[in-house]
Amino acid sequence: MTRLAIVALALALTASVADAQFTTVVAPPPAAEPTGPAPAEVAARDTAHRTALRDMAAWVDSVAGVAPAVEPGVVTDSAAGSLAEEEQTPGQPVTRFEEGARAPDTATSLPALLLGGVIVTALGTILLFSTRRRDA
Amino acid sequence: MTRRKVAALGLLVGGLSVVGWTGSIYARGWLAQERARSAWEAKLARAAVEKGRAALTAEGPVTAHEGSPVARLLIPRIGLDDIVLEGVTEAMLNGGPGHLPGSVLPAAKGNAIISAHRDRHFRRLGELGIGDTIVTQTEHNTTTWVVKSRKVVERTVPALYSASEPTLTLTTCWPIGYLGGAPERLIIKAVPSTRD
Repeated sequence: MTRLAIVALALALTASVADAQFTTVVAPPPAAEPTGPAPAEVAARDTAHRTALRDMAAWVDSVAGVAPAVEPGVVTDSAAGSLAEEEQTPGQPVTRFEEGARAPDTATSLPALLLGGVIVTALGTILLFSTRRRDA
Repeated sequence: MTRRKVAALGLLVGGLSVVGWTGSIYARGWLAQERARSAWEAKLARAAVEKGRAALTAEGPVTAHEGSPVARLLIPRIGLDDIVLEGVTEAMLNGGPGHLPGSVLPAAKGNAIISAHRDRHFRRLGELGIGDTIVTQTEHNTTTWVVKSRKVVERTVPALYSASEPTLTLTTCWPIGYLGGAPERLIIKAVPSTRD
């Protein structure tokens, strides 16, 4: 009975491993036959689309150097996008003056490190001297 | 050698290494400030010669090289007399107060911004109050300033703006005399009391 249980347990545990040894070959799907129009036709169609211009008046004005009419009350700022991209993020250190910049990062960990070093040195000295006294 | 002795020696060596390393950074800063003082004196001498040849103007943003001395800052109230270096990177601020590139020189029309570490050159900046005097010396002029305002702001808050009139802004980390992070900044603004 015990032997049977052991065999059953071994089969249950190693089933997935054994299964992995017998793999089948999965045939790749057949390559799809090109069914669309010929490349030459596509190129011809693209050319036809590209020449379809909208708003010809604005296009002609821009080529002639005439400033486009701006609707009254609408303010456009062409620099707004680039300024927003250059805005300093909180993690970046401030190294150059910009309008509305944060104050430069003037904090260092040196005083804390120095204090830590002094404390550790003092501890080491105390421990060393107490060991010497004990040995003596 | 007992375990206790090994631990003691380890602590001693580790502690001395940290003390030595931090001490070397402070020493390098002190040496950089001394070198800047010598360079500043040489620069003033050269400027005096040039002044005789052509009229110099200090208008507009500074185009000094990073690390070069650009001004001398004196604050009698806190006993500060340091040479200001161009740039506010860690290396520059170790050597002395740093002039923020892009801002004007002291006394020029605009906002001249100078920053320094709270544990070194500006360790006593917190003692400065409204009405106290600051003196700046550039190649072109010496200006006496009067502290007009002082405020503490969050470090992420926009704090520096251009000005239409000559303005001097001093910044450092806040709180001063505190180990650990600096969540705030001390901003001191001064205006000229007399024009030299």
